[in-house]
Amino acid sequence: MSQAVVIGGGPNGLAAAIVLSDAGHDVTVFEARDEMGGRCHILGDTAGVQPWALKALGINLERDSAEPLHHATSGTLVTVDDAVTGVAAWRAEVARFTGLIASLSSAPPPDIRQDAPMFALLGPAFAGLKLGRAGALELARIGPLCAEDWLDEWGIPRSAQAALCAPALHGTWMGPRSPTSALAVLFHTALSSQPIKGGMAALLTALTARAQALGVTVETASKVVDIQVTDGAVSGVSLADGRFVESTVVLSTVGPKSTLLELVSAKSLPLGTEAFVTHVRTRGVVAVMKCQVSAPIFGGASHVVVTDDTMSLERAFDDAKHRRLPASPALDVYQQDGQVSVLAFGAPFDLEGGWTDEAKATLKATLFEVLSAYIDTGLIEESTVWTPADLSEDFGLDGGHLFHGEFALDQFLSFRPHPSLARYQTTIGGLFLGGAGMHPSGTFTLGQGVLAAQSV
Amino acid sequence: MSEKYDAIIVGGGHNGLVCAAYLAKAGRQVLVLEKRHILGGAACSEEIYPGFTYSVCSYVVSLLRPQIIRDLQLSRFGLHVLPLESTFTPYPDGRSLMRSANPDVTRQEIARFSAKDADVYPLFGKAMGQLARFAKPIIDEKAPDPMSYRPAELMQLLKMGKRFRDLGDDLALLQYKLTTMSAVDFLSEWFETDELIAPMSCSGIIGTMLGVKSPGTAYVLLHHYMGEIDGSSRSWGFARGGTGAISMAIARSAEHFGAEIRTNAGVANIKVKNGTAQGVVLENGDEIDAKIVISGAEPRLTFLGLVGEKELPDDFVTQLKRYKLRGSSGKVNLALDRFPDFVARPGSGMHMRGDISIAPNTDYLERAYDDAKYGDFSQKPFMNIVFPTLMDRDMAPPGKHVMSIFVQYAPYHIKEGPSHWPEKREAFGDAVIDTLSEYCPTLKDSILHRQVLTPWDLEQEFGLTEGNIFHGELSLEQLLFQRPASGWAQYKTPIRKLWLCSSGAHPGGGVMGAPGQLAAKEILMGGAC
Repeated sequence: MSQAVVIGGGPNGLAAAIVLSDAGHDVTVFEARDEMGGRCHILGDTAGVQPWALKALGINLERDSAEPLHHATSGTLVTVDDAVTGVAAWRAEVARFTGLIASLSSAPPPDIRQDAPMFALLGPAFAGLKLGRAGALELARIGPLCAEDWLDEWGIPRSAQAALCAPALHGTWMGPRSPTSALAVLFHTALSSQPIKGGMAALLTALTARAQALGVTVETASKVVDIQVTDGAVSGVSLADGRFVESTVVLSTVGPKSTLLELVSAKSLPLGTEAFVTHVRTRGVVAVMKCQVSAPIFGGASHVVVTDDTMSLERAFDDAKHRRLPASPALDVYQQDGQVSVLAFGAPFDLEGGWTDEAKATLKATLFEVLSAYIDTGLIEESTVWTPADLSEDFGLDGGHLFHGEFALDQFLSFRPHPSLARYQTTIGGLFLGGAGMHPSGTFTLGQGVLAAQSV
Repeated sequence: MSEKYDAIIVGGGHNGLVCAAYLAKAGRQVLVLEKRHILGGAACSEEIYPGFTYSVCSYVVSLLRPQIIRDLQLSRFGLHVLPLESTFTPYPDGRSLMRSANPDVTRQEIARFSAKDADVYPLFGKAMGQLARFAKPIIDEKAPDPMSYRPAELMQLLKMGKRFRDLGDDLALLQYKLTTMSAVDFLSEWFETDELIAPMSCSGIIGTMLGVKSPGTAYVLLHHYMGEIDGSSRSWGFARGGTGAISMAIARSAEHFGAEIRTNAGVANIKVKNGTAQGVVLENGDEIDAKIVISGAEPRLTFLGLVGEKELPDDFVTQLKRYKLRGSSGKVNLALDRFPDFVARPGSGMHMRGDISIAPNTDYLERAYDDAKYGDFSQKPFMNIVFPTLMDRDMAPPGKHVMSIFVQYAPYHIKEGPSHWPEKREAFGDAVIDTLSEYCPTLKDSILHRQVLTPWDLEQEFGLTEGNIFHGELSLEQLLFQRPASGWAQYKTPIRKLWLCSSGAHPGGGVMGAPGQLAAKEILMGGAC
C-alpha cells in the first residue's frame, strides 16, 4: 500500500482521507489542533453538503425537511419562505440554473489553459446549451449584478433579501451592493438543499467513524511545518515535534496560500508561482461566536439571520471594508441541541489598530447587544469568540477567511485559486490541494476534499 | 406625406452627428433634430458667463476614434486636439505626484513614493498596451451576438476567441482579471503605494455608481492605454474651443456632406405604425416622415419616452426598465479672476496642463462612494479637474481662467428623491469648493462665477436620463451584446426602421463617436436607407 499524508483534519481532510483510503492508500491525517473537525466547529450551515460527495464517501446521513429560514429584523422574528413576496418566483428562477451549477460543482473545473485539450470545455458547454438561449443570456446578465438589484427585480422585500444574501456573503468580500454578489447568492442558493439532521456535529461524527472504519490514521496536535520537496516532487512532511514522515503523496487541505507559501520552501516553487499565490485574495469578513444555551433561543429555530435589511447588511460590509470594529454586524445564527454558532458578518481580519483584547471584548459586547434585542442573553452559558485573526491563528484559515479564499469571478471555477492549480494537482509532483480554497466554491460543500482525492 | 428624408436623427449630440455625417457622406438625405439651441448634447461649449467659455459637461476628448477624425475630415472642419500632458495628484499633507507623458519624469515622481513601483510602472504599461491591442477591435466593431447561428456572427466570435487564445495563458488571465476585478484589487497586484493606486483606480469609476473597490471597475483602466496605441491622432486630449468644438467640427462635416441640421427642434415622439417607425412629431406639432428614424437619445428615453410602451414587446420593456442608469456625477465650472495655486505644487506649470485628480487614497475614494450608496452627495468627493485656459487662451479673457471640475459622487437618487436636487445644488457646490480649498486655499477668493450641474440638471437640460453621462452604466451586464438589451445590441430595435446610435449602444459612452459610426455602418450595410 502506498503512503499518503493529508494535512488538516477538517471536513475536507477527513473526506480526502476516506477517498484515498478507499482507493488503497495508507493514509495518515495530521491535524494541528487538539481535536479533529476544523471548520466543523465554527460553521453551522450543512445545507450545502453535496449528496454526491457523501455518496463518494460511503456516508449516509438523514436530512432535515428543509426548515424555512428565519429572519430577525427590527425586534421580531419572521419566516422567509415562499409566502414572502417574490421568493417563490425567485426560487423557481434559481432552479433554472441549478442543473448547470450542480454539474459544474460535482466535477473538477474545466482546464482552460491554452495547452489543455479543447474537449475539456465540451462538458460545461453542453450543460450550458441545455439552458437554452434565453437561459444562457440571463445567466450572463445575472452574474455581474449586485445581489440587491437582482432580488429587487423579483420584488422581494429588502428585509427578506438580507436573509437570503447574508449566508452567501460569508464566502466573499462583498456586500449586497457589490457587483457579482448576485452570482455568489445564486451559487450558494443553487448548491443548498436541506440541512443534515444533527447538523455539523452529526457530519463530523460520520466522517470520523468512516475514516476510522477504513483504518485511516489520525494524529491530532500534530502540526505539519514543512513539506519536503526533492527534485520537483514531494518526499515527505516535517512535523512541529521534529518528526519527519516520508510520503510521495501529500494532500493539503489548508489554504493554498499557507500550503504553497509557508509549508513549501520558496526555492521549491516553480518560477512565478509565489507571485500569483500571494495575490489570492483571502480577506476574512466574519467573526465567530460559539456558545451553549440553557434553553432554546429564537424559539428553537435552527437558522436565523439577524439584520434589518440589505442596507444594514451593506453597512456591516462597510465596517469590514474600512477595517473598523463592526458597529452592527449581520448575524447568521445556527442552533443545534443547545449548541449555537453565531457568524458575525462585518468583522475585518486586518482591524485598524489590530485585534487587541480590548477590541475583542468590544466585539463580544456588540454581539451580545445585537442578540439581546431578540433573545434573553442570560440563556447563554458559555461562549467563545474568534475574531478573523483568531480564526487564522487557531484554525489556520488564510486571512481568517472562512473559505480560504474569497468567492469572486476571478477566484471561482477554473480560476480558483489560479488556472494552473485549479485541478488540485500542483506543479510539484505528488502535492495536491483539497481545501476550501479550491473548487467547488459558493458554500460549504465537502466537494473539494473528495474531488482532490479522486484526482490523486 | 412624401418622404423627403432617408433618415431622421433624433438628437444632435456627438454620436447623432457622427451617424448623420457618415450617412450623408454615403449620399443619404439626412435630417438631424436637436432640442437645445446648440449642438453637441453633452459635448458642448457655451459662454455661460460673459467672456468665459465652458465645456459645460464633457471636458476631454476620450478615445475619439481616429478613423472618424479621418473619414469625416474633422481637422479640416476645425478640430484641433491638444494633448493632455500629465495627471497630477496633490495630497493633503503637501506631497504630490505627477505622471506625465515623459517616462523619465514619471519614474522620478513615483520613485519618491516607492522605488519598486517606479520600476513596475512601465511594465504595467507594457502589459496594458498588449491588452489594449487585443481589446481595441472590440470598440471598433459591432458587438457579436453569441447566441446567433448566422455564419457572420459565428466568424466574428471565432475570430475574437482565437485572438483571446493567441494572447497566451498569462495575458488571457490578465485580461479576464481586468474584466472582472475591482480597480483597486487589480492595481494592488502590481503596485504597493496607495497614493499611486488611488489616482490610477479612479478612471474605473468615472460615471458609474460603483466604488474603486467594487468588482468590475478595473477594465476602464484600459481606455487610457487604448488612447496610446491610437497614436499620433491623439484620442485623449483637449479640443481647442472646448468639447463643443468636436461636435461643431462633426456638424460642419455632416453639413458639408449634405446633412440638414436643425436646433430648437425637440422631438416629442417617434411615430410608429404597425411596429414600424414612420417619422417623428416635433414638440411644436410638426410631423416629419422619413424612411428610417435613428435615435441618438438614451435607450430608455427613446423607447419608453418617445416610442411608448404599448408599441414594444413585453420582454424588451422589462429589460429597459431593468437597464441601470443611476447617474453618479456632477460638474462644477468656474470662471476665475486669476490662477489658483495648489499648495502642494504652486504655479501653472506642466503639472497643471493635464488633468488633476483629487484622489489622495483609496479609502478616501471608497468613503466618497459610501456617502452616495446611502443617498447623499460625497462630503469629500473625488474630483477630476482641467484648466482649459492653460491650453487654449481663447476660452477666457487675458489673465483669467476657466476651471472644469468633474465631481463624483453626486447620485441621482438622493434619499430625499431626485427632484429635491435643486434645493441641494448650492450645498453640493459648496462641498466641492470647500474640499478643493484644502488643496488650493486661494481658490475661493478668485471665483468670478460658478456653474453647478447636478445629475438632475443633466437630465432636465441634456436629456441624460437619471443624469447618467454614459447613457447607462458601463457595468459588465450592460456591455457588448447586452447593451442596451440582450438580442438588441446591434443598433437595430424591436421597432422596424428605428435604429439606435447613442452611447446606450455598444461600445458605450465617452466622446468616442463609435456608436454613431457603427450604427451608420450597420444601417448602410443592411440597405435600410
